[in-house]
Amino acid sequence: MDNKQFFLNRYKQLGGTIADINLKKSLRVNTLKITHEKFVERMKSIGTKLTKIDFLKDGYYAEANFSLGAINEYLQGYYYLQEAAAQLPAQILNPETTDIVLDMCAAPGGKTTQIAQIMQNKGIIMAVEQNPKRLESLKSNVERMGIENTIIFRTDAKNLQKSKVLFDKILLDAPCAGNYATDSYWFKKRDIQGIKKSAETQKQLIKAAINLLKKNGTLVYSTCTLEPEENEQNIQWMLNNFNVKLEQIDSDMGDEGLTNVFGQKLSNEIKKCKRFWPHKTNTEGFFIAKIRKY
Amino acid sequence: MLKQFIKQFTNQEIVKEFIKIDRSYFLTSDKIRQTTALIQTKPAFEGVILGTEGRVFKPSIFLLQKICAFTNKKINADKKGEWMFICGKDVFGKSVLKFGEGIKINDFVIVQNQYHECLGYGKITADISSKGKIVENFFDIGDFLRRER
Repeated sequence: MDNKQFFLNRYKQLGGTIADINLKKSLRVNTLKITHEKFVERMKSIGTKLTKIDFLKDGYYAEANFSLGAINEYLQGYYYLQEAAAQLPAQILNPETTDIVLDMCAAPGGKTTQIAQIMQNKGIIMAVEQNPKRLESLKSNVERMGIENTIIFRTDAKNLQKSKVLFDKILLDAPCAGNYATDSYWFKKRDIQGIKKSAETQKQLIKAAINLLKKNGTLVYSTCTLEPEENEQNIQWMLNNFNVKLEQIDSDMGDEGLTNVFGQKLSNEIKKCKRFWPHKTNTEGFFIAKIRKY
Repeated sequence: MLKQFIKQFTNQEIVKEFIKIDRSYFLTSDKIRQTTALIQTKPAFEGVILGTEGRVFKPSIFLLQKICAFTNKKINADKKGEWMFICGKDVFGKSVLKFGEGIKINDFVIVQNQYHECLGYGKITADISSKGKIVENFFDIGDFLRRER
């Protein structure tokens, strides 16, 4: 059995499938630098067709016959090229202007800059990235987008547990196996051993996130993978081991989290999570959980 | 190097307090400083970046915009000039829509586009009435793309 068939069989058991997806290019307007009205007008004047994404506060689908990542409007930081589903975690985290927020695996900075935008450049964001090359992308995007409330550290987010700071809100957009909708070679590169290894790394990050969260604080955990080991099963592990509960996600997009994974019954609470099958949402594969510490 | 850079455009003290992390300068706040101190690791970036030392000083867009409010040493390029400049090219006289008052050869100028958005800076190398190359590109925001390579 080839790898693609192996994953197709897995997805079928979970109620999903593999489909040819033509992802629409999407972006997020940076309201720290430009209003929606001025942005739409400006982009129209240079021949870009924008369509508002109804489930996102600041997201648009964009069509242009030139590279949207290499024009003055991009360099001025008026927008961030960001897949539609990837714009949801920061929106769901919904930080306040007085919060101290941690973005645990922050590069290349799409979600960090979105959090800063929601916080209107107030409060404080700590953005952490371990990989030096990815750190440079994070710094560059934070600068380009005009972010003023962020401190960036080059370290493993787990090391912050040694510090004296606790956070009101944490975003853990965990490193993951990815998904086939954004990577045409995905099925050639991935296997179940890699997915299990990734799930173990994520557990360590989840543990650190909960240790770093204030009581009553909110953690949003997200991945761009469809694999339940990295999603629902990790959330079950978290529910089993820490004083946390899941919160309902206020969005019509995506399916409920799975509560039966290859015959293993999981907590009904996991239905509060969101799972994005590309063939249903026309986005990349995605998973989001909103967690409160008590 | 930050203060020297600003002095090329204005004598106003537009940035009073700043911190330096490695080769970069940042505008920060007490609140941010206090939070940084809780982590026993040196930050890589803190608050608002003002610029980075290198072969030439690389100002942030924030700093260029701040300087623009206090200087006449600026020019506005047309659409073609804007594109050429952010691709790392020099500015030609025929692409300049407007010159700031009193600009002369060897002055450093901030290059803006038709919307007064800062694109970078350069040095006046020829009489501003010339149609040929008049601003040598020292730094432009296309650097954001070149950094990623």
